[in-house]
Amino acid sequence: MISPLSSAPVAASSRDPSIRAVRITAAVLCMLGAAILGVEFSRYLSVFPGPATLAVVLELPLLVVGFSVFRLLRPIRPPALIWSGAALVWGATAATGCALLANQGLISLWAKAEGVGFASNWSASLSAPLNEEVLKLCGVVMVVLAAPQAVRGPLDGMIYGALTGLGFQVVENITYGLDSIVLSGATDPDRAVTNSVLLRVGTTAIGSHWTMTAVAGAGIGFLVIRQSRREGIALAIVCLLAAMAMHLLFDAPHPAVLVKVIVNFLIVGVLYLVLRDSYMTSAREVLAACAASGIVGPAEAASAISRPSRRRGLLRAQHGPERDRVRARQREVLAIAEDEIARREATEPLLR
Amino acid sequence: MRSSDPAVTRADTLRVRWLTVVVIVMAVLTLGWPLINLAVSNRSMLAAGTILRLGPGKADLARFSVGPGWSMVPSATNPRLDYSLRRGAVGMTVSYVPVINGAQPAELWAGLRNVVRISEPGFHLGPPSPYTTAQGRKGAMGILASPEDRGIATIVRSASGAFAIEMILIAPRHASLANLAPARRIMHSLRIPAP
Repeated sequence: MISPLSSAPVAASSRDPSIRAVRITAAVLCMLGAAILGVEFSRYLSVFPGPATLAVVLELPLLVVGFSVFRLLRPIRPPALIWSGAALVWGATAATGCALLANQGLISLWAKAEGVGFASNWSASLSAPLNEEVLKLCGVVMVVLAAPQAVRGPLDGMIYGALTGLGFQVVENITYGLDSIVLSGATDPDRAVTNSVLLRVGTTAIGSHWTMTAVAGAGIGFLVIRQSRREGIALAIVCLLAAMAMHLLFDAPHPAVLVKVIVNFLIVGVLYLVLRDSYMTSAREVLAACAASGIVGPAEAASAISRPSRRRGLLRAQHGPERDRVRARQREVLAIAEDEIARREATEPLLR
Repeated sequence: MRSSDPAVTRADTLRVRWLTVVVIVMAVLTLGWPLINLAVSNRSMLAAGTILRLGPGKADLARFSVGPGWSMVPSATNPRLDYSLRRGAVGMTVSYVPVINGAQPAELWAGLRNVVRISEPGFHLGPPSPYTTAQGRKGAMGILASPEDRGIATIVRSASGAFAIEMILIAPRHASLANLAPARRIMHSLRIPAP
């Protein structure tokens, strides 16, 4: 196993007191974030119960589709459901709740220091990248600490980052929807909420928070896996700064929204394709080596990295003990392959 | 039970160290900025006769002027959307509201009543009565009341009907009418250029 934020191989179990401490702390921080959001927005539920429910319901498709797609984007097999959910919940509660207070403080400071004219244009884009990117990224770090097996490279960090960012994005969209009721004078709350959702889901969703945290999360993946700690830290910082720059662009008064969305989507898309290609190359080489040394059979090696092939293998087996045995063997082969891929990614050059 | 494996112990130590880093970072951002913000004055004095512009663009801009003794609250002011002003115990907000779906004055007033329930909990907004600004623009005015405070709210719609300006004045119940007069003058000074 990979130890927290270093590449030293050690055993870790959920009974370790340090892992329990991480999980309890994460749960407490999520509850704290949810409580902050509750204090700030609970009045909307009593004054505008219908529109507030509408704001939540309209975000559900984004939540469900995003969660499913991001988990599918991990090659070979999806990340653990429980840690995927944990990342999402962190983004939706701990990160958003804390960001609410942090942003209020920093945005006010900009208005006091530079004047309300400057602040109305720039305070959000100079505050949110700093506060929100760090708070969201803490969620990926918490996943690494709480489940040492979950993040085993930049691609895992990217997927968990995207899930954390998605949780943040969904809750932020809901709060924007609620705010839009008041900003439009509460003359037509349902329409205000719908307009806000259409803008934020229909126009900006593919280039918003999930892209930024995916990039920053890849950095945590590098930090976890790279044998050279200095290299890992440098890569993590570069990825975090890139995520902050993407966020600054996204919140800045210029250029046009569509340009910002496309730029962010292209950045995350290119990074994903590069990392995925490197991962799949490693996977094929590892499985070929395993087959050559007789650890796995040639047919197993050929079908291991493809979800449909594995599914076909399962369906070919008779229902019952035989299918269970095939499933267990598939997991065993994947575990061997993923261990070896992680070992390679620790030392190999970044781009192959 | 604690493991005696040095690698496990090292991983435990690292994990606790990183957890501490995460908690400190979260605390610094969540509490640090608000605390620094509290330490910095939140008043920006306005010269008597200052004309303030409110609205997102030139086409939909409203103006109003302040008399002597008023200050602006920068943390709650965004010239595109709203101003927060203070003069002694008297507080005032002036907000730009885009009108959705061609809302009529009665709907604007009902909306304002709900907005007050969100932004000024404990206050009740009474029924509207006709109101006219110095510019001659017609609007509505009503009384705000809570157990400790009282106030006045006004809504004036632009001629195009595309937006409205909502003003809320709040003062302690013990404040004299003389203290409310400067705020009433701000309300009266509102000008919305013809489209």
